Amino acid sequence: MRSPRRRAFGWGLLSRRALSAGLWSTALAAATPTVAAPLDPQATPALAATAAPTSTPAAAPTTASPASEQRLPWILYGDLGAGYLGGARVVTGGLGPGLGLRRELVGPLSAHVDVATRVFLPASLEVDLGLVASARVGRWRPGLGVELAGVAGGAVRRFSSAYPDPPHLPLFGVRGLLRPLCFDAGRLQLSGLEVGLGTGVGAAAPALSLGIGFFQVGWRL
Amino acid sequence: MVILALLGCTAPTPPLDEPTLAAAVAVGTEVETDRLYQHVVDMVAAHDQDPGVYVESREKTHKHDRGFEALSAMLDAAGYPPVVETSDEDGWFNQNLYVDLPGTTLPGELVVVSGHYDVWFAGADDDSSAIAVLLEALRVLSARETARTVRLVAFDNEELGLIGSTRYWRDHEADAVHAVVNMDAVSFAAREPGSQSAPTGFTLPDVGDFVVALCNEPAERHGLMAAQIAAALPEPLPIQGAIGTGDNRTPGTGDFHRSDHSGAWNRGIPAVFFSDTTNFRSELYHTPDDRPETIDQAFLHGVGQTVVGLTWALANDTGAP
Repeated sequence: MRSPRRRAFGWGLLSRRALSAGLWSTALAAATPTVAAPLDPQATPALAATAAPTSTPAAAPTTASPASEQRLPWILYGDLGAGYLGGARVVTGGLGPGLGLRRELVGPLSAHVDVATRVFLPASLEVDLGLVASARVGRWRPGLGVELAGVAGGAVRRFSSAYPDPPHLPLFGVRGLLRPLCFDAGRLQLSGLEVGLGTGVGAAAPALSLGIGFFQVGWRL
Repeated sequence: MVILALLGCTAPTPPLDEPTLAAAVAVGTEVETDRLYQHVVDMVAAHDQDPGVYVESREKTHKHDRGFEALSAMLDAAGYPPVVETSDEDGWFNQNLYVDLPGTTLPGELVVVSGHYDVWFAGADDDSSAIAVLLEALRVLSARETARTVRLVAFDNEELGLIGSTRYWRDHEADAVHAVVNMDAVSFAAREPGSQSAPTGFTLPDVGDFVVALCNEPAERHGLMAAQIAAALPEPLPIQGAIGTGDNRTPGTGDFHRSDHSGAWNRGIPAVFFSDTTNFRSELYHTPDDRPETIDQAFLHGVGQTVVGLTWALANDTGAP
C-alpha cells in the first residue's frame, strides 16, 4: 500500500451539476462565487472589463482554468507519505518519499500514477493508480477520489490456521482519497494532509489499507 | 485467470502430501505431555540451585551453570553424551552443547533444532520449555531413522545477547544446513480475550492461545509444513505464521530477530522460529514468577508435537528446500 495522494485538478471547475451530484456540499458551493454560471459581459459592463482578455493572468476570471493549466495538463510531483496494508494475511508499510505523474482529464477529473517507497515494516515499493475529482475555489483545489494501491516490494506475508496459504506479491488495496488542502500557485501545485482509507482486496483481504500524504509538491510540465 | 492469479486467488498446493502429513503427525504424537512437563520441572530445579550472576544493567539474575550440568546429565543418561563447544571471548564464557542423530542417506545435511538453556531467574517458559521439547525430540527421533542428520542444539547466553548462537553460526558456517527450527518460550498460553498484544503494525488474535512461527523467505515451505502438522494434530494447535522479506532487519520487524535463529537468518539459512510471543502475552516474562506451575501443559504439548513432527518431515523431506 502506499499513501494516498492527491492529484486532482481538473482544468475546469466543478459545475453546479457536479456539485449537486454530491461531490461537494451545498454549503461549499454557496460559499464559492467562482462556481457561478458565466455571466454575460455585454449585459454587465462593469464585469466586461474584468473579464476581458488581459496580459495579466491574475486578472483572468476564476470561472475558467488558468491558461497555463489548460496548456499543461501533465503534472510531475514528489511527496512524502506514509502507507500501510495490514491484516490477517499481510503486513507492510511505513514512511517514505514518492514520485508521481498526474494527467488532467476532462472537467474536474484527473488520473495519476505514482511510485513510493515505504520503510518501517519490510521496505516496500508501492504503485498507485487513481482517479480524482476536484473543485476550484480560487487557488484552492480540494479533491475526492479513489485509488488502487499495489505493493510490489517487501511485505510480511502471513499464514495461520484460518489462512493456511500466504499471499504472494503483488498485493492490492482499494481506498477512497480525500485531499482537503491542495492549492495552485502558478505552475506549482502544493498539497498536504491527504488521507486515503480502504481495504485490501484479493489475497490481501481482510486488511486495512491506509495512506497519508504529508506534503506534496507538483510542477506542471 | 490472469487477474485471479494477480489477486492471489489461485488454489495453493500444500507442502506435505497426505501420507507424509499422516506420518509426520504420527511421529509428533509420540511426544508425551508428562515427560515435557517433567523436563521443565527438572531444568527449573537445577536453575533454582544456581546462585547465578546479577546483571546490573538488566536488574536480573542470569543463570546457566547448573542448567548446563543438568542438561548434560540428562543427555548422558539418554545415551547421547553431548558435544560441548566452549569459548571465552570478550569476557563472556560460553558453552553450547549439541547431539547428533546421524542421517542414513543424507548424513552431511543437517536439520538443526534449537533452544537455549540459560535463563533469567528460573525460566520455566523462557526457555526450559524449549529444552523439554529438545529432550522429547531426542527420545522420539532417536528411535527411528531419518535421511538427514538431526542436530539438537542447546545454546548458552541467549539472554545476554544471543552470544552462544552467534558463535555457533559463525563457527559452523561450513555446515550444510537444510533447515533450522528454533524455539524460545513455547509453553505459555492465555485463554482470556484481551490477553494478547502485538508488535507495532501487526494484528494478532486477542486471545493468546496460538504459537507463532516466523520464517525467513527460504523457510516459507517449512513454515507451511508446520501449519499443516499443527492443524492435523488430534488437538489442533492454533498457529500464526509470518514470512518476512530479506533478512527481516527493518525497524518494524526487529522483534523477529529476538532469538537464536537470528544468526541463521543473517546467513540466508532457512529457519523457522516458534514462540508463544512471551512479553506480548505474559506478565511473567523475565520475572522470578516464570515457574513450571504457570505454563500451559496442553499448549506445550501441541508445540512439542508440531516441532517433532516437523523435524521428522524436514529430515526426510525431498522437496525444494
